[in-house]
Amino acid sequence: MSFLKAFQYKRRNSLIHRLDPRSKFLLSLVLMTFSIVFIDIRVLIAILTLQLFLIGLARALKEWVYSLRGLIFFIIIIFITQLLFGGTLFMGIVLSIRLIVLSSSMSWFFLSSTPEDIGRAMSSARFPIELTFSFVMAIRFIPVIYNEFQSIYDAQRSRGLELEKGGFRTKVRNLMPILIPLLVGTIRRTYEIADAMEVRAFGASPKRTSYKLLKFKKGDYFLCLVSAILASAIIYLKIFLGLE
Amino acid sequence: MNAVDFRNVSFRYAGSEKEALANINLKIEEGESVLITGPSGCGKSTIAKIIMGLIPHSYTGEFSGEAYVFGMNILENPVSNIATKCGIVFQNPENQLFTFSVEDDVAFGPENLALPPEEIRKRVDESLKLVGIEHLRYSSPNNLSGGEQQKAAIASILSMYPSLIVFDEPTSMLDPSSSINLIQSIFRLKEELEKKGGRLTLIIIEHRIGLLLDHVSRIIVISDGRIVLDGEPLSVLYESFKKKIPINIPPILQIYFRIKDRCGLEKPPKNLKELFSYLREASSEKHG
Amino acid sequence: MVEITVENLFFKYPDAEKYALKNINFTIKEGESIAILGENGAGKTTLAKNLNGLLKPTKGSVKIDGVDTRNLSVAKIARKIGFVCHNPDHQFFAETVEEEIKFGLKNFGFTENEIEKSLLDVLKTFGLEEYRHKSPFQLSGGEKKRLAIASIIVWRPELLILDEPTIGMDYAQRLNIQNVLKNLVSEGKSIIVITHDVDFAVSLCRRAIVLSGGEIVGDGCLRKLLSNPEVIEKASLRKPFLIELEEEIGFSVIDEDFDSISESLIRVFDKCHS
Repeated sequence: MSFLKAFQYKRRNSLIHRLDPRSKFLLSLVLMTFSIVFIDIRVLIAILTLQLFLIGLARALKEWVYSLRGLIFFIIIIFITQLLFGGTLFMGIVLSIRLIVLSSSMSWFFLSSTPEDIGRAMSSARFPIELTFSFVMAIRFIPVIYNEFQSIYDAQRSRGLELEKGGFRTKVRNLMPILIPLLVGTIRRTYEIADAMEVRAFGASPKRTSYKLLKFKKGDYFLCLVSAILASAIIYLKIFLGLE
Repeated sequence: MNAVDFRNVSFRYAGSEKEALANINLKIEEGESVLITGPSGCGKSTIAKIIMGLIPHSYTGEFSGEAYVFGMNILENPVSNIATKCGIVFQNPENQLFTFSVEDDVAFGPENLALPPEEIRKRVDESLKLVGIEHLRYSSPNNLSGGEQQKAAIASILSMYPSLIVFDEPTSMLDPSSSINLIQSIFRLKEELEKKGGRLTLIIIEHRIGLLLDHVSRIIVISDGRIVLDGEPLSVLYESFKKKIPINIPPILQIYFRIKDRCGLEKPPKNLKELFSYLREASSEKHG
Repeated sequence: MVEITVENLFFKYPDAEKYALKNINFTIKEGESIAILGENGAGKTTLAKNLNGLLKPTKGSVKIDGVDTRNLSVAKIARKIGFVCHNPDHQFFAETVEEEIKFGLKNFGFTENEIEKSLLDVLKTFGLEEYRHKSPFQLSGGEKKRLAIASIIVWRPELLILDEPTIGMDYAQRLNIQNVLKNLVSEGKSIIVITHDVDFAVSLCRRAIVLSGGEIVGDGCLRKLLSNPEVIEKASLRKPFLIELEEEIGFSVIDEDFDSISESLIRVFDKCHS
């Protein structure tokens, strides 16, 4: 369950964090398009370098490396299929980099935007309020539920439960004493949260105002400009130079 | 006007055989500070949920009787209507904060009411100040202590400008010094509001009577879904002592109730020192 | 018999900057009843989890019967040192009270006969016989707490650690837990109670370990420590009512039994009417 830690949002205040999530999202999309459109290793490496620079600016390199761990499994699959279906080792490397660029475009955005900013961006894009709040609250309660998991795990270990022991079936059965209290507790929590939201008039008015509004600043216009230039680069490289 | 007016209210939760509340008649006037106490599972929280309209609107079960808060019939008003007059602070502070900064949480209610942003800002400023947590404005709930989280929860209720706040065991997850601190800030806040000409009714549900005895003007004891005692604090406690109702009577009163007649004590002592000086007085009078 | 030796224990959580426990030293011997006192965040639970191997020291050592906890599995320690967590809901998962109690016994490999016998014993001692086939989720708050303790005590650990046994309990429930634990102590069982309820501690424990900011600010006779204004101030505690009473009245009061306290008061001031 320690992977949940990757979601534990830490408040940072970098140049990138202060930008409007909408402009960051735009750039993310453009960078992602590169990894989808191109398979040319030079382009991919250039974009990866740019991404590393952006992640560095957001002071989130450590978390980025952590997020790469989740990709190892897919990279292994890439290499196996390449070898099985007559691809080359080089092609395996290129595809892996492509995957890293694709995932980094997203992780850069999520690592440098606060959940509430993303929530605000969602509501300014007219997402339904229920959806926006589900998103913000899911992230808010992940560490809380993680702590609860830890307490439950400790309580059951203190009663002699050993997860490491036994074969696959025993292991699955041994998970029950942890999963059941966690599930019961989470359901109870959901009810309590729902009550607390309701008594603060959640859903009272379909209009709902937002007290802090997102505002485009100079940096955001700059980011949009960069996105526009990169987008034209995609067109130029693909159509005029015919890069793969 | 009555802040709360229950007429023959009964409620049975769906799936339960027993009534959680049976035939409750209860009037609480505007501006009162009332303590509701009684053994766990006696129905105290059910009363709180009815005041907010959560029962019967969000909980299934059998509701009968009539309940009014500030003249609003809870059956005819959605919870969001009642929420503009009444607020509630629950037991578990971490489940009452949904965002990543105290400020956003305090703004949450007014945002739902679709108030203009300037008005919301004003309310957020005021509420944080009343509870004394301006310094926590930008903190994330994940980094606050239980006591601080509970204060943030109070601030986020205050921003709704309620005339009544119900506290459902607000200190049961806090340590003794944070509990005392929280109770003090609740009553300080009432005073502040009243200085400004506002009025606030407080209903506090709590086991630890000693924490609140100096602050409330009325105690209601619930047992098995019924009101068994209701009135001025000292006489309610004396009655429950005589009837052996298992509630948490402060130790000093436990002794006072046992010896007051035999030793001719008229006033309850505030602490042990006072008790002993009364006793000395009483005995010297008799022998002197 | 179990003996715990804590030497120069320092503990830091993986992501934390500061130590949660600093330079902790003490020994726990058989038959002791100890209260670990202190404010929220003083490190009480962290200390308890270091004692039963759920957490391992960052520096220094915790030894159980001479063996470092780093070389012992949690299960192995749990057999000797039972830990009752503060929230019973964190441990219930079985369909019946009976299964809940049997869980530990099965994990520790007790035989069918032993399991049956221990189950019946503990159901009786904790007054849970009528709930045997009920779901643990249907019990009331006080019953849940009793079941939580019962499901640990059933394998007869030599030492029992309880984390905040009275939190959220009402008057009657608290009294009930107090009696259950008093019986255990009078049977000679060693217990450690983590609590900030000083009145509860004074009626149950002889020794106190007082923590503040991760350090021990007092270790010794509980009554002495809790009548020491300096210790009380440092750990933001409160003088227990019984001790206050003793100081005023001049003789010792063992129990929070108000009938007998009142009688003795009347006797002292025998000039009152009788």
